[in-house]
Amino acid sequence: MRKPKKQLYYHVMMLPGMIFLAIFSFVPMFGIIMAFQNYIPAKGILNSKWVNFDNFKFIFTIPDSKQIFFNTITIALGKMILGVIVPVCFALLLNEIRRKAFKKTIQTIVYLPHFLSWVVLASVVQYIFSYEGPINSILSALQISPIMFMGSNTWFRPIMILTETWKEFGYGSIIYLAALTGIDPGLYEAAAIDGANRFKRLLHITLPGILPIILIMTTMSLPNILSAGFDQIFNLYNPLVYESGDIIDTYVYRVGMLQRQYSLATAVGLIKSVAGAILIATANKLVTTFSDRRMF
Amino acid sequence: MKRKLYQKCFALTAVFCLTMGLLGGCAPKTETTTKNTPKDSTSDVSEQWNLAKTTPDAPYPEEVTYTIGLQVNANVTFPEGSNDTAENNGYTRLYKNKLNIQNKNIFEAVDGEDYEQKVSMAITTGEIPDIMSVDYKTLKELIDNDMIEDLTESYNNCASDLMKEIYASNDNKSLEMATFDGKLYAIPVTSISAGQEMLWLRGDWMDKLNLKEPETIADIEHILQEFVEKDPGNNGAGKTVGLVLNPDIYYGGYAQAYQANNIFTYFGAYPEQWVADKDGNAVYGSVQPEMKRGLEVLADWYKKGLIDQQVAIRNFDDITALVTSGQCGALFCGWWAPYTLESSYALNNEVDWRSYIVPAGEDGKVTMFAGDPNQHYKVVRKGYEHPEVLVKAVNVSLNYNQGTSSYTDTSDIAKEYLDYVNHAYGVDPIGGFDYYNAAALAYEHINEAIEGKRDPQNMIMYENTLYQSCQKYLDAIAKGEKADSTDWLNYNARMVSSKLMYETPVNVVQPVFFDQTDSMPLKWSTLQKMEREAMLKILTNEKSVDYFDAFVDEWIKAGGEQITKEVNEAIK
Repeated sequence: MRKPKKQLYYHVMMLPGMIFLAIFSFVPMFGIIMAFQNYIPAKGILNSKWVNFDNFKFIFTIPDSKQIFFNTITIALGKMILGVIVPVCFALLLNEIRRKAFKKTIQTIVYLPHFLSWVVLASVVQYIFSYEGPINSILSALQISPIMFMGSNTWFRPIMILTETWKEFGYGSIIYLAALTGIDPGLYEAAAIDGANRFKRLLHITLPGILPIILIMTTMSLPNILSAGFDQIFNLYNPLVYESGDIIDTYVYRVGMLQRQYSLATAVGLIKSVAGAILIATANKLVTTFSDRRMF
Repeated sequence: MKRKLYQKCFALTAVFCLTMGLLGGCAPKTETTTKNTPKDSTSDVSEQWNLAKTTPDAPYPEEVTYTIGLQVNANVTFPEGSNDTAENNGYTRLYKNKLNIQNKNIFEAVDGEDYEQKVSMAITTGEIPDIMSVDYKTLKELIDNDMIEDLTESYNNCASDLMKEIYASNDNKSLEMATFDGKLYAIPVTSISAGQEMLWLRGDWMDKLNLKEPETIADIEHILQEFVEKDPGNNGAGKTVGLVLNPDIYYGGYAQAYQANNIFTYFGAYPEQWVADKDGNAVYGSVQPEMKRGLEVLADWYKKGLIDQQVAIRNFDDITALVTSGQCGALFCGWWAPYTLESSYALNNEVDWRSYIVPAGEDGKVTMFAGDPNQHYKVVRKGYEHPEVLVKAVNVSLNYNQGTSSYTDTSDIAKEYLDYVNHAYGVDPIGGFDYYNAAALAYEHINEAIEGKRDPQNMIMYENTLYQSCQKYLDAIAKGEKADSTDWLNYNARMVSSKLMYETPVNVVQPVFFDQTDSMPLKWSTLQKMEREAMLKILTNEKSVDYFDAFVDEWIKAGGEQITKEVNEAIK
């Protein structure tokens, strides 16, 4: 197997993938230059004026930049935390179910929303939280005056986090369910003989068993800290909730795409990528320090 | 682990195919445009070429190809059974027949945003089509970088009298905007004046509740209150919404639906417009103190429940749905509102929309602000051999749409062309534009034709179509039948509300600036965001009207002051 000739054979097989990667990931990186220019399409990348860090300075001087960063990070963090806790709990609960058919049905149902686009789900969410919607009907039955959820800066962020979690937890739990099947059943038998109840078994066998996967999944989600979900927020926000809901991506859309400020949009994209890369490296370091597992 | 030869071969072939496929996608496009240059140099032919280049109507002796970026309608369909394409159809055949020119589409895009993206891609790669439409900002960019032809000579030689007449209908403002340093760089596509904003009310509800016609702000308030409280449409208690407004921006459009500009102009505020103040300096209307009084009225109406309480979370389609289903009986819109209201009539023929130009100011007139003279600009690529093709092709389109050729030309090509225009198959590679006062002219002509004072052939083709539809409406009413909803639409838009627009005198404020300044691209969207957020908060009573002052302070600091300065420099 280790003969060079054989290896060449495998390398040739990797070629399409590598070309794909080069064309769609490496070549476009030259476009990053735009972030340091005042890019004008008619002049092209080669002739546009060089402005060094002006675009980056501008990002941090716009009056809303603090608010936009804060919104992005709170929403993204909320989604990340719930995005780990809920699928793990759900996987653990589902794992306790013994009837296979029931288990499979539930699993299929909860992961369906993952395949629906936010463009569609936005109308559903709008309706559920509208004045005439089911939530306000329940509130009014409880003698609470109706709340305009989608126009409220108090409620907007929690609703974004909850609905995103609702959409994705079924899909997210698949990997944990797979990890659960990998735990040696012998351990459970031994624990049962030693007198451990179901909760104890969960705490001392199941959780440590899937901990590496949880760690990896969390680490992998870290680079998304500056992406709070454009599709969802763009389809659900309105000027009243800009204060709590405007995130980097929606801002860049309005400035970069609608006003055609490509340099600014690239600069923001670069900040996001750099921040993501730093975070993932740090997280990897932490994981290696505190456990004997590592990602890279 | 010895693999068989065929397995290896198979794997390698697969790899090879994938690689080639990937690389194939990157291969440079082969040049498809063919250039037809005159080969015959006899004096006769060269004279024909010369004639074609310097006169409005003369055809080219040989086929001339031009490439375009085409903006098509989303639901473009061709006549059943035809093999027509975007490059060979009723439109293109007319141009070919009249001038011997043929289009080649480099790109096609469905909506405006998509089209703009494709245009900016084309500019980036440096491969722009021979003819394309661009917005003002792109036009300036193209001129700055010497990418488009100077059309002054082509226009002077080839523009038809009709084209000049149409530009003159708005005092040649359109041409002025496309002229830089005395050179005309584009054929501007004119905007039709939107006319003044009207209050549209459900007349059947007003009759039911015995309400008199509105004149003042207090009258409007009273009608809204009666509508919301007494539920004349039997929607159920609390289900009738009052005035509907577009939450994204409830002012600033040119008689657009679901705004409330008249409430602002009544107090002398011109939101979203750059207008001249007393000293002739340009100021931004949305931040002037007059705005506050308009906001006071609307915020008060919201508080009283007279404005849609869920205004913040509606979008344009939601509002239209409310209007169509009969949950809403009041909105502001221009004379063309029946186009939006048609479906509410189709659902329920008791629906009777009435329009009022209110509230009039002290001089008895409503004030409106005029819009941008142009929609977009048609430009010709620098270095294209026949820049006059654009002017000549537009001549053809204008002749058939605004001129008389549609009546005089009875050839099959013309018939087919007219069929295309009437069915709005949106694939016209060139297209034309209309008189600034087209809507008022249409009323004048149709009205005269209905009264028998004008020959129905003595009007532009589109007006003739409308005239026939209006006549059908009147016939149906005379027979006591329910009129077709399209005829209802045309009659109400062209004969009822257009009449009101035509007959009601109005003050027109002319904004002084439609352009963008240097720092606008970066800062404007931040300012716009601030404005929309503040205005919606004030409207929905989340902030008091006094918050307006805080907003203005912040607006000035965040770049508003600098942009105002730039605008003033630009108009000097």
